Amino acid sequence: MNFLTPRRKILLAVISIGLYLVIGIWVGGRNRALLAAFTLFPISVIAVLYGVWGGLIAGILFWPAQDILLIGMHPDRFSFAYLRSDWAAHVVFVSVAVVVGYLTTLTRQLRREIGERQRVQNTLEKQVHQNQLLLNTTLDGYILADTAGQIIDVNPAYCAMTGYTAAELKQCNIHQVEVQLSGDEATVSVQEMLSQGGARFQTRHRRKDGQPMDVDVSIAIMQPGGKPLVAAFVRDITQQKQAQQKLQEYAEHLEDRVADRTRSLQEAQEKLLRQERLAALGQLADGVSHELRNPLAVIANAAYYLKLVQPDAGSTIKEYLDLIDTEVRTATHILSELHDFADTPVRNRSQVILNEFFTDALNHHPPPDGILVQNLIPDDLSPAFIDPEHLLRVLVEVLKNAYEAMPDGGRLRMTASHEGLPPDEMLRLDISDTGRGLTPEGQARAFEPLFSTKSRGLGLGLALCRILMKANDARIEISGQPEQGTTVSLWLAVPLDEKDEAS
Amino acid sequence: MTILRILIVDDDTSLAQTTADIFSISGYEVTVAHSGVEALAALREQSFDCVFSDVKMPEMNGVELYLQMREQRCDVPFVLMSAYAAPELITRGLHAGILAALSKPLDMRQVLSFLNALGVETGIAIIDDDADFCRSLHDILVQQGYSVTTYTDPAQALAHFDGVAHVVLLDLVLNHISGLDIFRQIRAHYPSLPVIFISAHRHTLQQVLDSAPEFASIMYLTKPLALDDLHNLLRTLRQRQLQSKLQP
Repeated sequence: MNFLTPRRKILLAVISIGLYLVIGIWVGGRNRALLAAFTLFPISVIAVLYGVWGGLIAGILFWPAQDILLIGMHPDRFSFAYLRSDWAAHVVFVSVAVVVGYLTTLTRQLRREIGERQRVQNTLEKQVHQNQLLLNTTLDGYILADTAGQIIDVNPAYCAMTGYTAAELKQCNIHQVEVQLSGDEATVSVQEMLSQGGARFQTRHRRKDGQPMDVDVSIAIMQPGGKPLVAAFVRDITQQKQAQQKLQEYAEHLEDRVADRTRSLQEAQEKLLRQERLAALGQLADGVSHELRNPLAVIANAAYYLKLVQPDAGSTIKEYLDLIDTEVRTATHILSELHDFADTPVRNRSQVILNEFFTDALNHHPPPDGILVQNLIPDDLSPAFIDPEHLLRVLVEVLKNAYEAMPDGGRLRMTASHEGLPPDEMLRLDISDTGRGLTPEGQARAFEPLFSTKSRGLGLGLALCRILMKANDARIEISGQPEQGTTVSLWLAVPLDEKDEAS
Repeated sequence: MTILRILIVDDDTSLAQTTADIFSISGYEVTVAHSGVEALAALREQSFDCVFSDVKMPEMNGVELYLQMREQRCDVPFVLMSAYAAPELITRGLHAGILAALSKPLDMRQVLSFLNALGVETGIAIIDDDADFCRSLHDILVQQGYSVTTYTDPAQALAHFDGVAHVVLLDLVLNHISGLDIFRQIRAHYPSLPVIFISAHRHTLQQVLDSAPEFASIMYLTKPLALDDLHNLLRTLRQRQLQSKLQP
């Protein structure tokens, strides 16, 4: 429920005016100046609040009230006082109210205008700041230039792109950073840009280091103060271009790649097949080995027996008996190879002094006539840590290959060193011959099982060597050129305690 | 010299027969068995100087044959002929006391040279200035089937070793000359000839053994000799010598 009903409002106004008058008469009876102030106060308040018109209306409204106040002030001299309450006083009061109201209105208008300007300026500043921030943050380069091409401003991204500093660029003309293109690629002319208000094109800019870069440029013409300026956003698309080019090349070479891949897949499949063949071979090996050894033994025995009982047989018969013996040995050797390949025996690693070991191996497998052996293994070389049986088999295989590669004689040289290797971990042994060497294919496939360049044999020899070396933490490699000899290199581990001593 | 008797055991009849033929023509007396059971029967019937047996045979394999033979208190040099099968079985046999495992086909030259060595009695040279000790030991060892030569003067010994002595028994304390000097001379001339030190002075012996690393693996006995130890030592040495003949 509203407390201020219309009747109550009227009542309240009457009471207020009544109170005002009582207080005014009471105050005015004592001091004239106070009375003037008291009279002027509400008029001024209204003038301040409602301006010129408010002051005028208030002055006229308070006119009777002033009269009453003046009468109330001097009740005993009513007529005199009434006569003295002249027009002039009223006019002064109303004029003051109007002037105050006018001044108030003027001030308010001024203040409003100033506030408006402030707001506009704030908004503008904010926008400028935002723009600057955008230009500083964007990864695209920004150039502001005049229509002659003189650079006025650049952003950090463009500096980073080109390697120039902002100060350097501001000394430049845009034509100094743009690579001149040939006629048909020429960029859009300034006139065109001006007539169209902007442009978009691709061109090349040159970095400070001289490297050109492909760029995408979009241009807007700005006319802030009547004089047109060129604002250019520059995007480095070098990588994009390169990627495009690569993509194109890739597409062009896709066929070749497919062919390559197919070839390597085929090779992998062949390898897999070979390995399957080997696995089957390994399973067969033991059985076959056992089954064939007995008949071979009988053949060998028979030949031996015949030699024993026929000491006086003709030379051809003896030759043929020897032939049987030799061939049985060859067959037996193949069986051994097969067996070893299927089942490498348990390792028994120990310290092996290479020099002695080599001398021993050479004594057991002396070189054929015409082959000179040079054992250049230093005496003070630290021992290798390897299963001596395994090492011997590898050496015998390597020696056999070397001898066979030099049917007309040659030189076999053995060297060993720690050179270029961690001396407490490995040593390297090189066995070089001056034989017929290996073709690149032979070299690449030398360690493949079942690969052989010889008319006889399973081609397991070097493959077995690699398996044995691997089992001893060692490595075997082969190198050389056709007709220039072959070098087999072994990387051998040294004993653990040697390592301790060295460290 | 008696003719060596050899038992060949192989279920492959051709192989057993051809091997037997080569041995017979080389001057040995050969019996052939085609299974472990046959072999054990033959061993019960007569004594042999050597057995050559296949590894893989039905019913009883070569190693089982050897173990059963040992159970029958029959201790004869036993050689396996393998076709590269069953390596674990062979290793077990070698640990049990089998002399060697040869792979087929046999290298006949090597086997015949082994049989040749088997036929020769172990020659023992005793170097000791105590003549009585020499004579008594000589008699005992001859009794056990060794051929023995004694030297009371060490100077003579060296000249006569070749081909005769397989083992030397050397007294460390000799009258005029140190046993160690003799030992070094023997080593210089016959690097692989086994030497057994004997000494009545345990203390001196120990000092010598500790004096240099070259003696670390030397065999030695103290007087009075424990004859069983000596016998075992000689047996081991002979085994080793025979084995070395069968090395691949």
